Amino acid sequence: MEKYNQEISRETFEQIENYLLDRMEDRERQLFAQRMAADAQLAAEVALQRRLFTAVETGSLFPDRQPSTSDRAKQNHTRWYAAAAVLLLVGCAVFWFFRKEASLSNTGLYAEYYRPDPGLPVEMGIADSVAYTFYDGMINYKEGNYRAALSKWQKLEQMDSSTDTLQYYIGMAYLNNGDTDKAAVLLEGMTKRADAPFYERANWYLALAYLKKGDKENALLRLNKIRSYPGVVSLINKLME
Amino acid sequence: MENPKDWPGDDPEAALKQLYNLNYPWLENYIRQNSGTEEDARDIFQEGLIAAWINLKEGRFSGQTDAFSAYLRQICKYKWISQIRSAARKRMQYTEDVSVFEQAAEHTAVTEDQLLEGQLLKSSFAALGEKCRTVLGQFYYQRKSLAEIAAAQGNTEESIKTIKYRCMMQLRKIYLEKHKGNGEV
Repeated sequence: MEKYNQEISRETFEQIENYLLDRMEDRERQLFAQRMAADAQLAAEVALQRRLFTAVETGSLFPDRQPSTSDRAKQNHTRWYAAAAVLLLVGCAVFWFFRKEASLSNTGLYAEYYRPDPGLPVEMGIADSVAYTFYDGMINYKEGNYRAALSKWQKLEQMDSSTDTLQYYIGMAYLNNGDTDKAAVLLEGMTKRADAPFYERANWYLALAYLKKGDKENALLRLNKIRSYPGVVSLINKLME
Repeated sequence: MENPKDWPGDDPEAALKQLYNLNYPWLENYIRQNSGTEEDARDIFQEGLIAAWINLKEGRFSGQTDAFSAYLRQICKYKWISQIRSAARKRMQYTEDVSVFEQAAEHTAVTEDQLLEGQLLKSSFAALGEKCRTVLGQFYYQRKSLAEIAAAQGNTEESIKTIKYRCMMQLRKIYLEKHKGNGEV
């Protein structure tokens, strides 16, 4: 028998969690301990979860992501290649800097104003498969796993289950994932009609997408359509400076 | 003197910060004096701390707070010496007699497997997405309630519970795959 199951149910996980965090009543704790004594796989899973809790606790002490020792060992192997690449890049960068000085300041403004759309609250216990897939993707989106969210939402698109909400969040997932061009194409489609549900938000993020690409004119064009939207006037003023 | 086994209780953040404040400056100084950098010190401290913390939680260490600090320092020292003796770091200069290596190994009762475990757990957590690390850190490390986390993120408690479960399953998967890659599990 395998030491661990491929997956564990949410119910089992929550029981283990309550046991490890000491959130069980005495009687419940006793029964759980008896189950562990009789079930080696459950006992192994409890030990595994205890270690994973340790990883979270100690990993959170240093919140910024550190490369592991093995990652750094790999970096050492590639150091010479990196040095050669840096020399080449320096040459390109000097040329690029003079050409794109203006767009650099736009990128700075993008970083200052861009806040990812936080997504929608996830509705639980949904029977409808389309809505279920949508909210399943929304959980991925909220976890920052935009690729997984996109893969689920694109399936809905292929099933002709597309809505404005779906289109908008696909655009947001692209944008958060760094696929600015794909995001811009989708958002463009949502800014045709002023009465469209996501008109203002789509224009705002479209303007930021243009800003990221260094296209100040198109960014201003979008921003001027939604002057009452929060942050728009201040961004326009900074762009006009 | 407090028994460290009682520390984690409901506040692992306070316990770990106390360990950090008591021991990290010493370790950084020690590693800098022995060919290392601040980044090395952070890596070694984190991996050593996981190994020591596991032994504490799994009942393989019993003693007082100051003894636990000494234990943690020995593990970190052992780990660093082990690292600089490895082939990749042969050119480094080490200021202590290398017989310390063997002595440290005897006294720490921490095996190479346990140190590797620390490395695997550390890199598994680091491989999670930022949002997962935030939610899990808030819940398990800072011991915030689901309601507090949900309110701060403009979300429902049920969503946070689902996200937490899925993030823990991701962490479990990453960790088990890394273990398999090392020929275990």
